[in-house]
Amino acid sequence: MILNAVIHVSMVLFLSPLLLGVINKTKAFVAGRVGPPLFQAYCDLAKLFRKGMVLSRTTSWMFLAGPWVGWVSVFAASLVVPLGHHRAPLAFQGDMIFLAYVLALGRFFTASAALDTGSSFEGMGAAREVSFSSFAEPALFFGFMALARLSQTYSLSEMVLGENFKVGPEKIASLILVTIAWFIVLLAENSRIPFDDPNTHLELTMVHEVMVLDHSGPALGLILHGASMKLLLMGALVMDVAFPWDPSGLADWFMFILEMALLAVLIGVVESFMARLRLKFVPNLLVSACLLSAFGFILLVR
Amino acid sequence: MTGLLLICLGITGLGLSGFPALLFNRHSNTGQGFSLGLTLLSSACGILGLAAWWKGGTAVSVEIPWQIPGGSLALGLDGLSAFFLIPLFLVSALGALFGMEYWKQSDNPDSGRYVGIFYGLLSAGMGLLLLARNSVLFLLGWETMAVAAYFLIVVEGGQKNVRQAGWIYWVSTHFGVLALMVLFLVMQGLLGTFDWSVLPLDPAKDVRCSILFLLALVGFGFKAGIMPFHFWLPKAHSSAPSHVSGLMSGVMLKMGVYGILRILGYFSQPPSWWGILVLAMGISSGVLGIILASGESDLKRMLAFSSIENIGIIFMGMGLALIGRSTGNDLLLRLGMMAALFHVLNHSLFKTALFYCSGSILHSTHTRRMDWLGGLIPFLPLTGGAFVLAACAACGLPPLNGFIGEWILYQGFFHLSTGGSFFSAFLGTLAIGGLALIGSLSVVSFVRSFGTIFLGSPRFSFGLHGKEKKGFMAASLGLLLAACLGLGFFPGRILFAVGKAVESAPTGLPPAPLDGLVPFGLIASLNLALFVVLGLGIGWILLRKRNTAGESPRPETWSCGYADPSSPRLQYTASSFGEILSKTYHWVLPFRFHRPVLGGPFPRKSGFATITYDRILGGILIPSFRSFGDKVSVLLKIQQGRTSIYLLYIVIAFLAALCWGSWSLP
Repeated sequence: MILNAVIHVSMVLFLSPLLLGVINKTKAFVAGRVGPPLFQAYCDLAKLFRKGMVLSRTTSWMFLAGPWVGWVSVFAASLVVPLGHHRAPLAFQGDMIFLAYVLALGRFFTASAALDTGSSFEGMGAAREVSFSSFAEPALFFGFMALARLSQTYSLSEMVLGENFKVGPEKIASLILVTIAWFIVLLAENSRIPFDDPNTHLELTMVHEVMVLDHSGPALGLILHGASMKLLLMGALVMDVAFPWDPSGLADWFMFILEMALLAVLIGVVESFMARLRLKFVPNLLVSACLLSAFGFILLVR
Repeated sequence: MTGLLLICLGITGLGLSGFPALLFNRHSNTGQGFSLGLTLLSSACGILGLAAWWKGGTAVSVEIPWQIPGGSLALGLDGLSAFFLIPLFLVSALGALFGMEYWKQSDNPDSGRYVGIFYGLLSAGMGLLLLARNSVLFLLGWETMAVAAYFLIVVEGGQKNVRQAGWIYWVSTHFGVLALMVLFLVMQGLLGTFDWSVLPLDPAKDVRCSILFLLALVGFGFKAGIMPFHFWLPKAHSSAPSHVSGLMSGVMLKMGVYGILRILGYFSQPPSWWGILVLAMGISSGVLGIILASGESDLKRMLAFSSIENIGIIFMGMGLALIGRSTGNDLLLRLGMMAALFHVLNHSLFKTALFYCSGSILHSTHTRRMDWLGGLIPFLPLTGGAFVLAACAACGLPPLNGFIGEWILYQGFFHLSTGGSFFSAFLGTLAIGGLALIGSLSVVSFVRSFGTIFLGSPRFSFGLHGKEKKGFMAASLGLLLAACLGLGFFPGRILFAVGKAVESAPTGLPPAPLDGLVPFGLIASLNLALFVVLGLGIGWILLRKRNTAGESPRPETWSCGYADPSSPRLQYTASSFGEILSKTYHWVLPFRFHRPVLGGPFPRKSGFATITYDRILGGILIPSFRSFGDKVSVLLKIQQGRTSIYLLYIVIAFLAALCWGSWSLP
């Protein structure tokens, strides 16, 4: 139990930046480039935490509170997400609501920190981030409802735990729908293509990256690390639904790492073969994710 | 019994609290000080009374005969009344404290005493209606509240839009009273007396019950501001002085909720469509209210729209409870009632705090237009911090109290959707989708208003009219926020009061402990831990900022090299921030562009503006009332203002009466 909790927390803290490396390697492989090293994100983080910060004269305490609250909220959220069907360190009735709302807390402060710079670029990013998330939120909750209906439990760890998760072939369809919907939500919430392009050079088209343009040093490091933790925890949610098998002790942790690597490769492939959506179509895609997962739930009710 | 006595004493004291000021000079603050003292004393007395009552916890009632036909001084105190008295005493006292500095007698010699008197009467009216167990007495309290609120709305009646707001409020509140009068008359017809007791009807079979329920929904819905009866609310709440807006939004709206719960308690088994109707009203009010809030550019109107959203959340809880009651599912009933009551208390705290913040902003900048402000946080640091906390509570974010209520409500809907039939799952889907949408959209609206007002740099060089007030205003705000945090960390402490209210609200519900339904202890400690961790970090940031202040000249915002420090108006405004949503939801949030007209040589000066308006009030009600007025204007010909013609009317009427009398005689 304690061992699992230690593994859980250390995976969240230390494994998560690796996902970015895998994604970038995949993209480079598809494009025939060598690409940045697998551990580039770790080097970036180490570099950022050693640097100083530039704080503009427009900013207030909110500018630094944003990254801090953002990081803490993602970490707190990761405590209730089961990684690879292992019971999460914190599991209680209604923890999926805590997950969604504590992420919203982070969003509140990150967007406020962006507005604190007084730059219209960052205002644009903040407006897009919070508005797009409002389209994605119902998709997340409809998925929770489907899982709760399947397992008749009200805690994330219970929902995806072995014995509650035995599904017959008649339930597979709705699980597939929820997986697809949550994958779309993952791409949107973690600002990946087709919603956002982290590599673009045109700030006018960006969502998440443009919010943090003015952050530097340790603050940027916190943001970067928080983003990678968020990718890991949402990836864990998707993979828990996509591969509903029982945990089998320590071996399962390796299984989980493999699953996450697979997910990262998948994201990399999506990013390699797709272009960014035009901004006005982003809500449409997110609403269709909502419909998919709502349909997944309705299929279970029949 | 002591409890009831103390509470009555407290309410009387509140009602009289404004009058001592009349004895003093209109330019001195002494009278207001006496009023404040009386208010605080009365509220303390009332809260003591509540505490004394909870110790015993059995419903008490007194009945004293009264001369008024049909009326009797039937007062009662049970869990439901006691629960709604908490925010009443708390917010009344804090509002008077806030008003001591915000609406100072010496600054407002003409209106200070006037506001004080009606503020006290508003509180006392609400107290009276919460204790009343007789229709006539209830309506007396209700009208005192409604009329006092009207006079508070039109304090600044010199402005045209304030007079209009008062007029719309007056008409709509009395439309509600009309529905209530019919309701009480029908109840009297059934019971034989105006005193209240359980109705001897079976709602499942008798159609009269459903009519009564609909009348209650309309009459109390107008006061609660549930859609579609919400249209008076944004104007009225934004016109009143801010501490009064706090009392109105925080407590007065809840009187509508109380009324519905009270009336529902007198029916035995409600048919299931009642719950579905209340739930549907709640969802639509919540979602539409927050969408309207996200398009609003006046701070106080935006807060009022957010109140409509929160009333929607409360109605969702009540709808869930009703569905649970009609299907015999006790779990849904308890969770729904618990969520609704928790949210009643939470909303009365954080919304009042937000209105106090708006008062502080208004005090310093003299404008409510968010787009004109910006960068206020260095000038109003306490208000800024308070706004963040209260906004987080309003968005239902942990670790504050707003989260607790929504968390319980979500669990209720999860239970609704996982068990049972296709239809209940369908309702659960709508409710959870609606709640998720409400939660994330309120983040949009509050980030938008906080960011536009407090962050960035000032958009116009508004003159700061005086510094931030750090006396009574800050103290009352701080106490409210302490209450918000306290409820977030120790929600279990208030559970006994909620439990008493749940037991007394619907008839025939056996008392049962509520604390086993949701893991309160765990979420409370999680909230506390989260707050400590976040607080430590933010404290360190503030300390660091203080230590490094003035060390080296700080650069401009980089902003891709685009920033032009001379034009802070390039910043994102509230309207640009909400643009994505207002485009998506244009069917709810109609906004008109006033585009500049430029053409030909030497074009004249022109401007650009976006204006949002309310579809129900501006699109339906005002045009239909106007066309009705045009149609009946024919009748004006009868009334000409000449005495001789009126005498002629009297003669005709007299002759007609004589004729009729002689015809009908045998």
